[in-house]
Amino acid sequence: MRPIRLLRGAFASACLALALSLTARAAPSEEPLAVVVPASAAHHPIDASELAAIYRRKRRFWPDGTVIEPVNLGAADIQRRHFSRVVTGLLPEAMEDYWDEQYFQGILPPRVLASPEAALRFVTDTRGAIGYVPLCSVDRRVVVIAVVTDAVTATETPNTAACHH
Amino acid sequence: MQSDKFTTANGYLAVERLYADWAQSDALNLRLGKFLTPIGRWNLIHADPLVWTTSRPLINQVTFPTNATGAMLFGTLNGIGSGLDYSIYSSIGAELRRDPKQDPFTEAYGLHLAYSLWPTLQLGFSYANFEQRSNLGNRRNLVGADVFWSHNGYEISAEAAYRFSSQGPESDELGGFVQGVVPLVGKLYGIGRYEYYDRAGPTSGVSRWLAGLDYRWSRAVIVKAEFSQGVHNRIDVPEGFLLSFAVLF
Repeated sequence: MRPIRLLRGAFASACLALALSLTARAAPSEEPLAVVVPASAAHHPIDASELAAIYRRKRRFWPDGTVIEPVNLGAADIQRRHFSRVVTGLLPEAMEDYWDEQYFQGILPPRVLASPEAALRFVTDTRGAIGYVPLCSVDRRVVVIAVVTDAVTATETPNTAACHH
Repeated sequence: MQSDKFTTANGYLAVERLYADWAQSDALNLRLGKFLTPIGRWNLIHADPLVWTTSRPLINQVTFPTNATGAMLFGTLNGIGSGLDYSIYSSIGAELRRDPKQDPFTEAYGLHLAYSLWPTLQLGFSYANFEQRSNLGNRRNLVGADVFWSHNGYEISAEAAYRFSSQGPESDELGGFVQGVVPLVGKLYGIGRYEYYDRAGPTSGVSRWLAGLDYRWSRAVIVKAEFSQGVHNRIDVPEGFLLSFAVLF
């Protein structure tokens, strides 16, 4: 009887763990990211290729001629790693050689800020800026022009229903 | 250095690049001044901390002048796939602060294209039509291709170029290289390169093998050690052991 009780207990524990995992909040790396620009700026939804070109510094001007000012979170930041993997196809450390070569040509990588709030403030106060923050962190200071999950979705009307739970 | 003392009698201030850029848009930029000749990939990133070997591939040494003084239009055509990088340049007249060891352009026109098939794979194409100081009247054409692949610290790069002219096969040059980089342990990398170079003149082509070890102390500091050996080396291509220390700042 005892081995059967052990098996039942193990099975029950496994079920409980599974249930908890299904109801737990998404790990930070899975949290959707909102690509944002200043609320005061002219804006349009941007797709994956345009976003990748901006963050590789191949696209440096908005359509109105304003210099694009992209901003990254720290290289070790989970959201940065998520954004980099989806948008550029590479993790931050895999792009170090690329940035060394661009530096030799006089092109610097996007500036790095310490937190999503710092990114929001920078984007709000800087003409031409573009950055990314957790979707649920977006407020009236900025406008969403794309959402990054497992892919980039060009949109100005993201679904934020999950943010209100 | 002469006899047992140093001398600066033969010294000169080298200027490798000196230019001004004007950016009209992503697709259209203008560069005026002295810049690296946009042929191949190695010549455009040949700074010592950015390349894996102390020695330069033979095809990139004398087949074409490594610098040009003139004007260049360049940019990225973002409407073409992942973006097509282009450079169109012309060099007419004197070289700015000429390197005495180089045979500069007296007139040159060229085009370089680069495209990323994937984030880890880049292809390039080069064409140039030019005349050099030491061989006035001999109009030369050069076509070249380059490829670069990298993934998780592994790299494979290759370049090839063919220079020909109206003077016939005796003045043609042909060559290329394939180089591989393998992460070994920690910050230590292994490098292997094979080159073939058939320079102008009656002598046949020469092959050179290279094996090296690099230690990347940091992003900005690298120590390189390599040994190279030529095959059928009738043109005294440099061989042997080289050691260098490079800093990026």
